[in-house]
Amino acid sequence: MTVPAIEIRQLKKRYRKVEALRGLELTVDQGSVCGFLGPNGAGKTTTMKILMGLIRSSSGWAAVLGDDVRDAGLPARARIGYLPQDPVFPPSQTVRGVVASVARLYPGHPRGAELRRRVDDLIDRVGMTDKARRRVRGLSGGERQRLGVAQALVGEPDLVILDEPSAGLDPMGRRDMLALIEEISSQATVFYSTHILDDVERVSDTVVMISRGRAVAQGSLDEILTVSKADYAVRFRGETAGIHDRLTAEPWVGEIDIRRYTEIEDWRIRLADDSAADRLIPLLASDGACDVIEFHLSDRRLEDAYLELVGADDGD
Amino acid sequence: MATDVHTVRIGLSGSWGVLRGELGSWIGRRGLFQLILWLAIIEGFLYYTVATENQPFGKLGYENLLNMLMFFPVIAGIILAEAAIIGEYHSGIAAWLVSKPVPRAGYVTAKLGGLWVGLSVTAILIPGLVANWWLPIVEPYRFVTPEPPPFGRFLAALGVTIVVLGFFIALTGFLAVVVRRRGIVALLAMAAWLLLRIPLAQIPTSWHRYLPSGLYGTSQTTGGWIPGMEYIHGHPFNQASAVPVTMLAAALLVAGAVLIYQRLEL
Amino acid sequence: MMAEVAALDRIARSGPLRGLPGLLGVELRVWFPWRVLSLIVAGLSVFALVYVPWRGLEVNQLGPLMIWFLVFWIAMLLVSTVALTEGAVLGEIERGSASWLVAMPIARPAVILAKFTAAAMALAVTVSVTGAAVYPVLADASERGITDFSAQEVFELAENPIGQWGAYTRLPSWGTYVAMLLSLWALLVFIAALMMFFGSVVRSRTAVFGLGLGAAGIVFASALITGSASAATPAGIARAVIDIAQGKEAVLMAPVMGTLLASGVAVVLAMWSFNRRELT
Repeated sequence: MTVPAIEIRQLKKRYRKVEALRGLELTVDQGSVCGFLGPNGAGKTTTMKILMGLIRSSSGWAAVLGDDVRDAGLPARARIGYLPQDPVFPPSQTVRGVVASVARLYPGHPRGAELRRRVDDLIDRVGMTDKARRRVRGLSGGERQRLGVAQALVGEPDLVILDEPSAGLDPMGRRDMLALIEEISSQATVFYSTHILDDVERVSDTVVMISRGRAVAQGSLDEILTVSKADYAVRFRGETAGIHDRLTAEPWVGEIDIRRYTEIEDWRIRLADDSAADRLIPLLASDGACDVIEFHLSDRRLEDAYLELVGADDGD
Repeated sequence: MATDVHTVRIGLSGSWGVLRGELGSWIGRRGLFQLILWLAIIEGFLYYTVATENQPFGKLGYENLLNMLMFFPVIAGIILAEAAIIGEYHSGIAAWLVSKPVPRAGYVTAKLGGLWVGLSVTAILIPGLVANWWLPIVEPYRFVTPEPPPFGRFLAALGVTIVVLGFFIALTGFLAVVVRRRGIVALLAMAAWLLLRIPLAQIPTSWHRYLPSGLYGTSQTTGGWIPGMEYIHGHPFNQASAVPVTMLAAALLVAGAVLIYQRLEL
Repeated sequence: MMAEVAALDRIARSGPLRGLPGLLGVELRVWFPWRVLSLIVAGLSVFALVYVPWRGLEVNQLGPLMIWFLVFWIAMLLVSTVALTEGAVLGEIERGSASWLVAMPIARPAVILAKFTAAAMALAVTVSVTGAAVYPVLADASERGITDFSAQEVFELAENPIGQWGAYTRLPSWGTYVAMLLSLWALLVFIAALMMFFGSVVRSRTAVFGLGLGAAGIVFASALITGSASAATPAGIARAVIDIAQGKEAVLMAPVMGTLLASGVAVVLAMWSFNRRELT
């Protein structure tokens, strides 16, 4: 049985009066792409810094690639590539210089022509070939992000931890970053944090949602998307006041979201009970004042699950 | 055991990478600029004091040289050491580096060690050797002795200067890790340099044999020169015991800095 | 509506010092009370370090006490001024708060002027409080001792590092003493002005620190080494202060005027540079 890439148990971190992590638990399997989602201040960066040994937890336990992070963890760090949030590099070094100097920090690093080849290859992978000789101080925020990914990959890591890799990127840059993450995932486990839910849906196979220092959901994307109640999308034409009154009177009907257009209305009906679906269709068809044009299971988006799960935690 | 050896090997590799980067910054265009700057400062000041007739200290060329080498590079070492440790701590570069397979101990040691080597060569060794070339032409030492000092003794005096520089870089590194406020660390380190030197601090005479001030303060034997000056003009190095003590103190300060840095949150 | 137009009109007319009062308040809070208190305590500590052995050695000569105190106090103040102002401009730029400040209806030159003015005010308080605190002790020391020595006795005193100088020092009159403190303040203000200029043009804080220390070192070394050539310069102030402490005649007007003029030029250059600087 392979060791998880990341394993966290009851992790807590307190900064004086502020509890940044309140018993976080999560597991990331090797070979997966795990999106780490959460609102600002949820504890994402704190978690990643603990995993990288930059800060210490107040209590609990965490391990990367089987190594407890409280130990020196050098062998583990030699197998990890890390991109911090808002990366800072020596301003007077060139792009090529930064990647090469990082390469030399890893044991068994290539030398001479082979090192140059690896550096150039990485710079090319992140789309910075034409800026290879530019100094860091002359890079935009997005270019620094790309450089950050290049330096994270230079040690050919088994685990790549990326803190907000899409931050500051334009849409094309984001697209390229996601393509890069997909490419990396064939060789390494990827654990990355982001606010952009579309990105998670595109490239992740597992998701961890964190809110106020605790995981509120964890699992594959499908599991997360079906964790809640059934939603049905219905399109009506005609007078819907009557059917609305009848639906809201039923105890097995939950929320109803309505969008009105000129001649039609789009409803999203949430059922309190999955098994009540067979009572919904006859009820919809029974009202003569309106016609049902479309009826199907609603495409539940990650955003819905996120708002529901994180919002529920905020409401505690 | 195999795991420990493997960990040590990784740590040494990462530390060497940081040290190599530090040393590399003293080579090339930037290093050349530094060298020219130091040559201008040391040789310029030295020539001014030696060649200007009104100067009361002008005839003591080697004394002035050694005093300058114990002052200017030390001040520069203090400023650069606090910038390296505190600047990189606040900017996030330190966190980025130690997220690589670089042990924190290796990071701190490589930063301070690289600075010490670079500054020793650029600000002490090369300017000292250049001065040793032209001072005999101007012959300021005639106030003291008829012959220029033996090269071996002069090199030894430069070596003592390098030890003093290493101590103050280590002290600044320690203060930087503890205090982490740039101006205050520089002030404290410079105050330490001054207090160890001046007689007002009322340090008992015999203690100077075991303090860095025994190397750059006034010698207790001749009462006028610094010990390096005594030595290059044929006297014994009477406060030689201060050399190993200073080196040990520097090592302890670096060790202390490393211990504290291990616990720092980055 | 009329009130808003009037407000905008006031902003438009207020020119290159727009926002100065508010900025000055912020900068004064940086210096007061802790930085100023620290400088005063450090100055008094320097005096204690000099005074205690002076009493112990029973030299009973005011000169050595004044000279050693002034030399070390000036050196401490010069280095402290450099250390406490090195990050004033560049630190703000590096943190990003400079961009945030100038995005508001605040004139860029006002940012520099506020920093400089706050530093000048803090240094004025530091110098005057420390100077006033030690004057009674100097007066007491003056009354203690022997003030007339034969040449031979002076020569013998030279054996003792503390007794080396100043056999002929008398306690300056209160007016001369105040003039001396004012001159010292002018010297520190010059260093602060230089630091504002360096911070506005240079990109590295380390370089700003080095340049500032270099300037302070040149001023200090020139004062100790050179003679009248430095009269109308900042080095002339340091030289004049030490001459007064040695019981010699000294002219303060020329160096003070020269120094204040140089400070003004440095601040104007700093304001101009900062006005043009790209805050990336």
